[in-house]
Amino acid sequence: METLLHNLALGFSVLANPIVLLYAFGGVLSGVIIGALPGLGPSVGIAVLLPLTYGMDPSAGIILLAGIYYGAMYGGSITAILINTPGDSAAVMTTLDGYPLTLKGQAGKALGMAAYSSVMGGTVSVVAFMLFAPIIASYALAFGSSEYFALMVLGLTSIAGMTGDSPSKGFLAAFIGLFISLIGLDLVTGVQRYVFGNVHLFSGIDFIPVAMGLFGIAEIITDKGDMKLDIDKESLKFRNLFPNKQEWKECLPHIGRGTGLGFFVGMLPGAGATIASFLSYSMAKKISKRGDEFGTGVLEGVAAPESANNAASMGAMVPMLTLGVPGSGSTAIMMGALMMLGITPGPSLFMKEAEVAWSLVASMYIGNVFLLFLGILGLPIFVRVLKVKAPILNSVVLAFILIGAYALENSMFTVGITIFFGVIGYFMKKLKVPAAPMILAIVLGYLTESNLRQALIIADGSFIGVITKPISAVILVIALIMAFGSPIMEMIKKKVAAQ
Amino acid sequence: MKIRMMKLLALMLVSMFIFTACSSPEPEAPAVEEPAEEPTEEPAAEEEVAVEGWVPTEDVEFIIPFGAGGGSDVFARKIVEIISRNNMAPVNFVATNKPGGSGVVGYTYMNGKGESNYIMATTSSSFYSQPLTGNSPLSITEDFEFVAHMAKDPSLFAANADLGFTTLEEMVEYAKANPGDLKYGGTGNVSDDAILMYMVNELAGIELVYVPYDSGADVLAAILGGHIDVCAISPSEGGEHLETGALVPLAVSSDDRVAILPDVPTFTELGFDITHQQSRGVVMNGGTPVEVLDYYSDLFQQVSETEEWQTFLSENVMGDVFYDNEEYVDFNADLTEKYIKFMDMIERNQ
Amino acid sequence: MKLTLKRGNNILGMTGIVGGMIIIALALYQELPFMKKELPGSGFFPILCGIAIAGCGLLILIENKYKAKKALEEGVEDSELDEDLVNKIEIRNFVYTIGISIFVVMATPFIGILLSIGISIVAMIKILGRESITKAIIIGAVTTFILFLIFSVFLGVPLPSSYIGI
Repeated sequence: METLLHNLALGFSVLANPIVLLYAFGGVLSGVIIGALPGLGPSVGIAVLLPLTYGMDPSAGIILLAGIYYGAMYGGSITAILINTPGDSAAVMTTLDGYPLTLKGQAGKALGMAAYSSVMGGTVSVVAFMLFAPIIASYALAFGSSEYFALMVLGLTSIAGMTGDSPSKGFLAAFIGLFISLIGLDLVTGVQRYVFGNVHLFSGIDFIPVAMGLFGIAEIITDKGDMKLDIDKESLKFRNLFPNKQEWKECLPHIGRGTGLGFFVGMLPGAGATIASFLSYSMAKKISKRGDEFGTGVLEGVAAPESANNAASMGAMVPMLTLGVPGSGSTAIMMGALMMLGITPGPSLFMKEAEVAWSLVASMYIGNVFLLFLGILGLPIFVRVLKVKAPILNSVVLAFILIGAYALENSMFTVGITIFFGVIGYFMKKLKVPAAPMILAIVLGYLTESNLRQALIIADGSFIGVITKPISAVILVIALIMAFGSPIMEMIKKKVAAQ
Repeated sequence: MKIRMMKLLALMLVSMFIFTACSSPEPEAPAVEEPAEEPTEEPAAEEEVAVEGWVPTEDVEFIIPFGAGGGSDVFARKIVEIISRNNMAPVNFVATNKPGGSGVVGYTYMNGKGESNYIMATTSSSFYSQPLTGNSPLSITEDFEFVAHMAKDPSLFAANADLGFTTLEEMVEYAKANPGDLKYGGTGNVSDDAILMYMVNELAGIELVYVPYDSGADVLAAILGGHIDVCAISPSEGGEHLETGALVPLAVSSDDRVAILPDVPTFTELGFDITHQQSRGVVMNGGTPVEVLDYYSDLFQQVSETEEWQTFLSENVMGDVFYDNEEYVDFNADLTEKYIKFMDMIERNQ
Repeated sequence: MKLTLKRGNNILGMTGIVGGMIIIALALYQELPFMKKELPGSGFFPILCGIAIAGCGLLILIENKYKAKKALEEGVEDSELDEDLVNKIEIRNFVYTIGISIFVVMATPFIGILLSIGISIVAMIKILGRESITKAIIIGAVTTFILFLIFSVFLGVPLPSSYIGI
């Protein structure tokens, strides 16, 4: 414990330098803005601002990049809540209850809860990171393809909770999403699947443009423009951004669970904030007394995914720093940045470059504080956005979406995909086909297939071999329970009541 | 009220702007490690070229057919950085990512620019594998001109320490006794990783099973977790884990032993004719005039002779192999032949 | 003939069935093997998806019929199924939004993305809103400038080239 405090002190000493603090703040600020912009997520932000770190002191550089990372996790929720356009994949779940809350005039509360959940999830995770990093990380490696497959299946079962009134429509959306995720070059054999020779489809259809179209553009089209948003100034006043006691009581457990789940999932190399937010949301829905109301504007539905995605971003740093194995796309880029700055993440990082590692940890504490301030102080500005008249707001958002889609891969093709899915999204809204299952399936589909096929190769073709591995089996059982548990419980309850 | 909000917004934007402005000019920013040693050769060489032949007058677009953070990206940006820091060219080189289609999007984009003396792209393994597997509308020999070959990435064949192998021999013995048992992980399915495995299979008469992954990080996670038994990684990726002993290096595919791994034999030493490495070079569109190619080739030669480049190469464990535009053409012809054979080999085995 | 939700659902269901079958057909056409060497081939998941999509389409048809029947039985006059899908305002929004977006994509190679987007903003405000032309142009110009700052200056994204160089 002594060494721990000593190390932490070492870390904070680096931060005593105002320039470094500025970098930390700048990173978080940039992250929030980039995360809020539809289409641009932490990966893009880090990759693009990477050149700024050339020649920087490694500690400062990594602090900047880390700030962008978790800043973006919060930033994505801003537009998700206000205009139903998730800023990045990890914010998709936040739209489900965040946007309805805005429609009910409680945007301030939603944004406030998002900020608090993010910061709490992040801060607790930093502590966990500090204490458990080396130990936990070694377990994360025990997750191989079969275990990931099981995890993906678990993620897919949360679709069952998103289907709303019409399960068949929900599943239709999910399977279409699953199919879309398969378009591209096959991982195992390299053949073109449904590509028809179009080079832009080789790497498949990225899910971010789809989300921007399905949520963003479709929303713009169906916006009747006569929405008299009664966000009374009251709800924006500072004290109203604090959830009241009752709300805290309801949300805190979710934040706690979301943090734990998020941190753990984030640690698994390959699973990141997005999956963490999905799982956290569906778990919250199952456990909460108001689970049935999820989707109509329940504060818990914002707290759970937001705490999870920030916790996951911390979790993803664990394998990256302690084992040199990145836990997500963004951490992979961060690792590249570190190596460029001359630091090699890995088991001996905390010993050889203790200063860098611990200053990063210290910066994460401070960064979360910055996040809190930005979240609270910036709220009036964010909500002001809503007051803008619909056609103006819509045209500006559309402009951001279009150029954002381009910026993803510097290609107009991506913009085309976004527009195409905008059209699809419109029809889906009209026909009441839910969009969330499609997004979930696109994110998880490809991974489910590739992990299953990898696992089968490793198990020499035996499917039984894949599902009977200890960790996989446990996860699959949990998935089964979550999928079929409630209907079976209902039936049992009815039988008992009838007696 | 409205005005106040506007002011706040403006303040945010201005501070953002200032933040960027203060940090963006890369050549000037790094006050920390500015190389005081200006390479003395360059000015003389530069004058030579300026007097003699063609000189660029527009900014050059340097296409990276892959995403940010990857091997090609780091490689290209380093070159650009060295050129700008040492003022080696009268114009700017702008590195642009055009990812997609395993490199095909970037190359077709460049090709779409037609005859231009100001656009070039990096090459790597997929420059060969994609056209040869029918996934690219471009032809290696007809649509490109070869500027300079800069480096080679060797592949390291490594095993999970828990298996107990310390030499390649031992692994081969085990594999012979247990065909189909050892799982080998690599990225993609027509990549250099796959090529390496099939070559080893054929030459050693064993049957390693290929498990494809999406990225080097995934392969690393899989082997460290014991899910696969052997793999191919680049020495820099493996770095830490080789030192800690979690991974055991069995052989390396370069011509000579790699400096940071002096105890690891090359395949050739062990009796296997495997010297395949990933080639990294620069290409331009077909039809670009020779004077232009000569200029850039000279420029890249100067880059390769700088201390910064040498440091970069050794940090990333890449071999310093420079060919100028003429040598590269021959080298490329050879390499294309090899890749054709490799693609056949992969098809036979799939 | 009113385009009710009920009819819409039927169309959706049938599209699902047809779509699923097309997916399977394409898989066979592109020679994606269902199984290869005892392992799932590249056609395994797509074919399963095709079947599932067709299945869902069928379920939607059945569910639709069932709901209609139930509404009839319960004597509910104006159930959600009778909701008219055609909404003039929405269709107008749809046409203009998508139209303007497509305009941006098509115009970019000629006049650059910034100018296209600038024009699109002005167009949208004018057509879908009630602001004066001056206000629209101001908003368009300011937003475009901010986009330029964020994407080109701050993020360094290389904007697509065009005849006029922006």
